[in-house]
Amino acid sequence: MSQEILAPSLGIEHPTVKGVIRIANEVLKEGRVLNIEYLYRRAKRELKIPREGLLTIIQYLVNKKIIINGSKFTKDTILDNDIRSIVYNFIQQNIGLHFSAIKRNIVKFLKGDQIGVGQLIWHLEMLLKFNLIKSFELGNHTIFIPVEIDETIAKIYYLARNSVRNKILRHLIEIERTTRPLIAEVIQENRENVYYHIKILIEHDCIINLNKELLLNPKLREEIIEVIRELTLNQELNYKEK
Amino acid sequence: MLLRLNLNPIVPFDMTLGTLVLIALFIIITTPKTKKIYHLIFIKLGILGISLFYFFEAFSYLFLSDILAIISGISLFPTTVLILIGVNYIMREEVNTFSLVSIFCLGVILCIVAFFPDAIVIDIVDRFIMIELGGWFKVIAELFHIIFIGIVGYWGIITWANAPFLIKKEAKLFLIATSFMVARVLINLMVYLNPIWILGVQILFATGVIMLTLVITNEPKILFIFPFTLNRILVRDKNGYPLFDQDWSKSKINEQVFTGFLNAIQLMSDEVVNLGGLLDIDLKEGILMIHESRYVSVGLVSSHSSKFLRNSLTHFIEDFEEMFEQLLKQGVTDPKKYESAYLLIEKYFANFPIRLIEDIKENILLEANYLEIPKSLEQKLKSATINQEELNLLKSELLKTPTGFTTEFLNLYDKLTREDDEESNPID
Repeated sequence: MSQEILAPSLGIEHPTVKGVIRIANEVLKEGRVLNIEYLYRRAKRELKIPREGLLTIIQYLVNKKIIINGSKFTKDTILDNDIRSIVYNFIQQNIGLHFSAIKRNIVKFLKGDQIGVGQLIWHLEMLLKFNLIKSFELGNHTIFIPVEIDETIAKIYYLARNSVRNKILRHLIEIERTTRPLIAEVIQENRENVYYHIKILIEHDCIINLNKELLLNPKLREEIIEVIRELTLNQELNYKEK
Repeated sequence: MLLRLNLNPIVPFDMTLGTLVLIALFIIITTPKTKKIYHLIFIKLGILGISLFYFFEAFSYLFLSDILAIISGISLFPTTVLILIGVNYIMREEVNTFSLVSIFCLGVILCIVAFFPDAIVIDIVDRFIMIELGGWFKVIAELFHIIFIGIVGYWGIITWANAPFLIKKEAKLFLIATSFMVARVLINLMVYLNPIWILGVQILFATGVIMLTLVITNEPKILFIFPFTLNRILVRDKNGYPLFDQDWSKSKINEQVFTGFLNAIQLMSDEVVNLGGLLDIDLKEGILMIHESRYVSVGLVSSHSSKFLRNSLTHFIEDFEEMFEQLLKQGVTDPKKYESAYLLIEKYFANFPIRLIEDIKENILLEANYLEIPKSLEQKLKSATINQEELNLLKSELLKTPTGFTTEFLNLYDKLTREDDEESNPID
C-alpha cells in the first residue's frame, strides 16, 4: 500500500515548534500567565504561520506533554507529589524529629528511590509554605512538626527521643522524686552523660529541681507520660495516676 | 405550440441558488477530506434535495406549472427525512425511529393534501404572476420547513457547544450557517406582508446551506464531536515495549487497566487471539479495542466502538507495520524511531478532534526539559540536586509555587545543610 507523503512530520527539532517553545519561555520570563489562548495569539503574531499549522503544533506539544498543566499549587494539590506526601505522612507519624533524623529515615524508607537533600528540603519548604507543617528551633536543630501540634508537646517528643533522656523521664514517671546520682545508678548510664541530659531537661522545663530532688514538671506531667508511652510502646509504664 | 414563460424574478434567483447549492454539494463530494466519510451520505442527499427544491420551484414559476409546484412542495418530505437521518447518524450513529415514523406520517399527509383543489394558488402580485402553495398543502409544507429548521438549528447549537477549543472557530461558523437557515423561518413571516420577501428568505437559506457545506468540507472534525471520543492509542512490540502512543483526550480507563489488558492479550496463544485480529473489550468507562498483528499489539481506548473506527484502526496498523517493517524486524524499541507514525494518525484519525485542551484559559507550563529559568537560579538548583531528574522536578514545580518561594527554599537549604552534621539519637 503506497504511503501518501503529507507535510514533513512534526518533531521537537522542527523550527516552528522550537519557535513556539521559545515564545512560551519568553512569556514565562515576562512574568505573565501562560495559557493556550495567549500562546496561540502571540505565536500567530510573531511567527506568522497559518492558523491550522499553529493549532497542529500546539496539539503536538500537548500530546507530547511538552505543554503541561500549569495551575499554581494549592493546599489540596500540594500532596499530589508522592514523595512529598511520604514526607508529610512521616512527619505526622513521627513528631519532634529534626532535619537529619527526617532525612535519615526518609532515605531508608524510600529504599531504591534516590532522594537528595535538596529535594527533601524542597518538599519541606513546600509543606511549610502551605501551612501543612511548621518548624521551630531547639538548640542547634530545626524541628519539623505537624501544624496542629503544640510546640511544647513537640519539644517533649524531641527531648524524649534521646535514649538517655527517655530513660530519665521514664524513671521519674515511675519514681516521682529522686536525685541525680540515684537516676544515674538506676538507669545504668554514664554519670556525666546523665547529668548533662538532666541539665537539658531542666533547661526545657520538663523536670524541676526542688531542693536537690528532681521531679517531673507537674504542668507537663500528663503530656510527658503520653509521649513516653507512645515512644516506647513495647515497654510497660508503671506509675501512679494523679 | 408556443410555450408561454413567466418571467418572474424568483426564477433566476432560485436557479442561481439551486446551482450554488449544487456546486457546494459537488465540492463536498469531491473533496478528499470528506469524500470517504460515510456519515455524510444522508446529508449529501439532503443537500441534493434542497437543490432540487430550488430548481423545481424555479421551473414551476417559469412554466406556471401546477405539477412542478406540487413536486417542489413534496420534495420537502424526502429532504427533511434525509437531513433527519443524517444528523441523527452523525450525532449518535443510529436513527431515531420515533421521529422518523412521525415525519413519514406527516409526509404521507403532505402527499395527500398536495392534490387537494386549493393546493396550488396562482395570483398576481405587483405585476408578477406568482404560483404558490395554498390551503393544507401550504400548512403542512411550512411545518416541514419548521421541522427541517429545527433539526438543523439543534445540530448547529450542540455542535458549537460541544466543540473542543481546537475547532471552536469552525464550530462557530457552523453555528452561523445553521442560524442563517433558522432565520429563514422568521423572515418567512415577512412574506405575508410582501411576497417579494421570499427572495430574502431563499437567499438567506441558500447562504446557510452553502456555508454549512464549506465548513464541513474544510473541517470534517465537527462531524465527529459526538459519536464517540477517542482517548488513547498505544502501539507495543511483542515484548511489551511501547513504540508509539497518542492521546486525544483524558480517559476514564485507568492506565494500569489498559496496559494490563494488553499484557493479558499478549500472553494468550495465537489460536485464542486470532479472531479476525480485533478484540473489543467493553468496560464501563469505555471500549478498549485490542489488535494483535504480526509485529505489534495495539490498544485503542474510545468511548464507543464503530465500524468506521475499526476500519481506521485496521488500516493504521497495516500501514504502521509496513512503514516500520525493518525496525520491527530488527527489534528496535526506541520510541523516537517511530515518531513519524504521527503521519498515519493524521491520515486515519485526522477527523477526531483532540480534547486534551479543555479550557484555553487554563494555566500551562512547559515541561522541565524545555523550560528556561535564569541561569544563576538553575545553577543554584543544580547544586542542590543529585541528578537531572531531581533538577527537572524542581524546575517543573518552580513556576507553580507562590511568590518568594525560591528565596525561602535557598535560605532553608543553606540552614539545614549546615545543621546536617549534628547527630541525634532517635529511638527506633
